[in-house]
Amino acid sequence: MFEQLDDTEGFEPSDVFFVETTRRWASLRRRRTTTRAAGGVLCLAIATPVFVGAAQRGDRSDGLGHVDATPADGTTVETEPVDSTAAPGIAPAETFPAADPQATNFLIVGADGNACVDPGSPYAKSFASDASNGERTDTIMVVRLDAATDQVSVLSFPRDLWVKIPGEGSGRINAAYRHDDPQLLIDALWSEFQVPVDHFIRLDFCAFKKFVDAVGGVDVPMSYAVRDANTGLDIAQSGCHLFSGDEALAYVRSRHFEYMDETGSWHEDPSSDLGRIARQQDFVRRVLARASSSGILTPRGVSALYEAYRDDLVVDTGLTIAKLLEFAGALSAVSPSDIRGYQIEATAKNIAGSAVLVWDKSSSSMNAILDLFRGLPPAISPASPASAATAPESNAPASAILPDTQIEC
Amino acid sequence: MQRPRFDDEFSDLAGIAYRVAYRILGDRPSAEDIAQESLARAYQRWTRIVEYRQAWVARVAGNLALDQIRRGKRTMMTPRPVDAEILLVERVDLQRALLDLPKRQREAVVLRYIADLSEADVAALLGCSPGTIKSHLNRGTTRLRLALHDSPGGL
Repeated sequence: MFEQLDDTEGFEPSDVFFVETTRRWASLRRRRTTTRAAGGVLCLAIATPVFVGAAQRGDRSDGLGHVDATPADGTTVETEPVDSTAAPGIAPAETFPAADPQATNFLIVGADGNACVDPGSPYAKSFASDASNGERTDTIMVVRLDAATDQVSVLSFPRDLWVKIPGEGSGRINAAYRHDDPQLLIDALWSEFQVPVDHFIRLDFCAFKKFVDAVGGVDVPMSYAVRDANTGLDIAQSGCHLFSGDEALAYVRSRHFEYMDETGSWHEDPSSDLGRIARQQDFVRRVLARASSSGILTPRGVSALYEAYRDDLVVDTGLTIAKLLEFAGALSAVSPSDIRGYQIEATAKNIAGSAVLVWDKSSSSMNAILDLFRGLPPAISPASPASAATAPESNAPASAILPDTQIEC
Repeated sequence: MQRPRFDDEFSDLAGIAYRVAYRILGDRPSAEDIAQESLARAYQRWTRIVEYRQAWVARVAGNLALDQIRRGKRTMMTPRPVDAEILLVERVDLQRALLDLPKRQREAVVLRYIADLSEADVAALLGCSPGTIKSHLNRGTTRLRLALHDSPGGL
């Protein structure tokens, strides 16, 4: 009856339209949940920010965009400025393309990014570089995605890990990371652990923050009241807590993590960096669970995120949007609770006056875990050929302060 | 049967919300804005509305569009060059006429004639019998017709 009043130009919701809708939904959800008791919020299961974040293509002011990754044995790498005028050419498909059944290792580096920080935010500190130790990267992990078995495993490297850096002797692993060139780090991972890297993703903390906000925040069942004066983290009570993006960064980056015991006194997490890594891995699982339940881990959602966040990511040249959609598809088939998180088992040592971590080369669980990331079958120990060591479920330190899975969220 | 997924329904529902808002407001940015808001709200309560999703989204979009007029935020349209004047007049008349209708009649008219839903869908969403909807529509269209003076291309 009113056809003559229709928009003659027609209307087709764009990817930007979709992302904007998601963002509004997220803010509706936040408004609703903050006015209710925390216990009433549903904790939803999810998907991974790293992969969705990976959907970005770099087009950065420093001129670096794609980085050529990496033969598995890491010999050369070339950086290549991104043609910022090139359209990404996204055509969201109905279904994800089939993934390469070959397992793939992603090196994911979390990098400082101050561009999206509101200086007035109580968490502003968690975005700033830690000038006292001159670190350049905060998080180094290798994620192995095995599309054939729907398995995702994450191996995190503590920043103080002492490793051989080809051409430079030995040093802390994060000294091998160059802001604009991941090759040295890739080579170091190969020479120290024989773990190959197929793709590289540098995830700006801004992308992480935005992603947490885009999925409407992430619920975490906190075992304790926790705080960190260095990052501004301050959660006054245990129980289910809905993290916003800013707060999530303050949480996953916290390395002076304090918790309040039953008597009301504060203690620092005794497991230090290893505890932080375990919390990060736990958080990533929850973000992923939330993303998949929010419906964003679809071809359309991933393409939309790629468009929306492309400034916050750098990926290697081989990691095209088509490839990313393949990986996102494989990832969406994995239940986040099945994502296994590992860390390098290491002991504190003092080398040349520096407190560093030296990994335990004789640990059978460590070697079983490394074999998993090397793509080797479980090793048969020469000493006791009957017992093939398979990677355990997890090797997080028992003392780490982690969320309480008994709490309903 | 499996419940329709929001993501799969997204384009259709966005199209419905956009059309309703555009027919009432005649302005692209406002219509997009309302469509986004309607879809975000729909997603928030998806399981409860999934059965009447088209009608639900159309109703929210219609209400948001009329609210905008009521608040006086948008009385000016950016008319298209062709037939612009006639359409502008018609749209302003329609807006005024819709706002003058009692709530139930207005909702029925928006869903049936602006969103082009079937009488059965409108009845299901509003929780009335088809007969009640018919009578709301009859009375609503009569009043609209009077208000619109049989304007060109109108009812």
